[in-house]
Amino acid sequence: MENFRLYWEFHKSTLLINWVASIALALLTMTPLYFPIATMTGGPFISLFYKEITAKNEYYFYYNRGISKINLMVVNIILNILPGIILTYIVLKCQAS
Amino acid sequence: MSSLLETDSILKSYGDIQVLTDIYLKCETGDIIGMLGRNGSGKSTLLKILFGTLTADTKFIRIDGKFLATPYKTKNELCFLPQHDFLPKHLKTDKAIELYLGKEAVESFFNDKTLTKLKNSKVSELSGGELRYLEIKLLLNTDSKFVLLDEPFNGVSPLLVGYIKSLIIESSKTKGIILTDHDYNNVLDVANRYCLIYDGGIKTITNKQELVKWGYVPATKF
Repeated sequence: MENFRLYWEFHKSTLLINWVASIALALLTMTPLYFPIATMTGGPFISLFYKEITAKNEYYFYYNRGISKINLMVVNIILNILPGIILTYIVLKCQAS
Repeated sequence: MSSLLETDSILKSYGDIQVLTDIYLKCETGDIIGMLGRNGSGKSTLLKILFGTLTADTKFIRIDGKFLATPYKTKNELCFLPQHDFLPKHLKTDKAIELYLGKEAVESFFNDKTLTKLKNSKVSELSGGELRYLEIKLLLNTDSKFVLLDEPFNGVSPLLVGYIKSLIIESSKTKGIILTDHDYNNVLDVANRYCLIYDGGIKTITNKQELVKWGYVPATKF
C-alpha cells in the first residue's frame, strides 16, 4: 500500500504533460478519439521523456524506497490504460449517437 | 542490531579512463566514514555504484552476508542522498515525509526549529539549504541500515551544517554512514573513519598529514 501511494504520486506528476500533449493532438487533428488513445500511448512517453529531461534526479525519491525507474514507467503506463479505455468508449458512444 | 556493508572488487571505467580500480570498503553500524578525494576522483561514482543506480565493470556488494546485485531495490538496506535535490518539486513537504515515514511521524519530524515553519510548504518554495537539510533528515529517519550522503554540506549555512552534523552523529547509533564532501573540515569533524580516493584506489587516512602527503590539501593547511 505504501508503495502504491508512491507509484500514484509519480503517476500524478506525469498527468499534466500527458493530457496537454493528448489534447493538443486531438485539437490539431480535429479528431476527439485521438485524445483518449494518446493518453494511453504517446502521451505517457512524452511525459516520461519530459521528466527525464527536466527532473531526472527526482527518481531518487523512489529509488530510496526500493522502486526502480522501469517499475515506475510500467505502472504509469498501466494506470493510463484503464481511464484511456473508458474515455475511448465514451467518445465512441458520443460519436455513434 | 549491528549491520555490515562490504564492497569489494569495484572496477569502473569510462571509455579508456579507469576511474575506480579494485575498491574495497567496509562499513558497520556506528561508522561515519568520511570519503575525500579530488574533483573527478570517483567519489560520487562509487556511491552510485554502492547504491545500485550506476553499473560497474565488476562489483561485489554484500549487506549482512547477503549479496545484492542492485542494493537499492532491497528496501531498507541503503539510502542515498544525491548531489542534487531529489524531492519532487510538486509535493508538499509534509506529504513527502508522510510517504516515507508514515502519517504518525509527520508531527515529530517537523518539531524542529528549522523545519517547523516549512510544514505544508511546497518543496519548490524551499531554499537550497532548507531543502538539503530536510532531505538529509528524511533519509536519516528512515529504517535503512546504511545511508550514503553525497555532498551533504553543499550550499548549507554554517548553522544548518551544525544541525546536520548532529543528526549524522545521532543516526550513526543505528546506521552506518558514508559521506563525501569537499568541505573537508566538516567531514573530518563529523566522521570517525576517513578514506581518500586517490588514483582509482582507496587510501585509509589516519591523520590529517596524510591528506597533504596524497596531495588532497596544500601543505600550508595543517
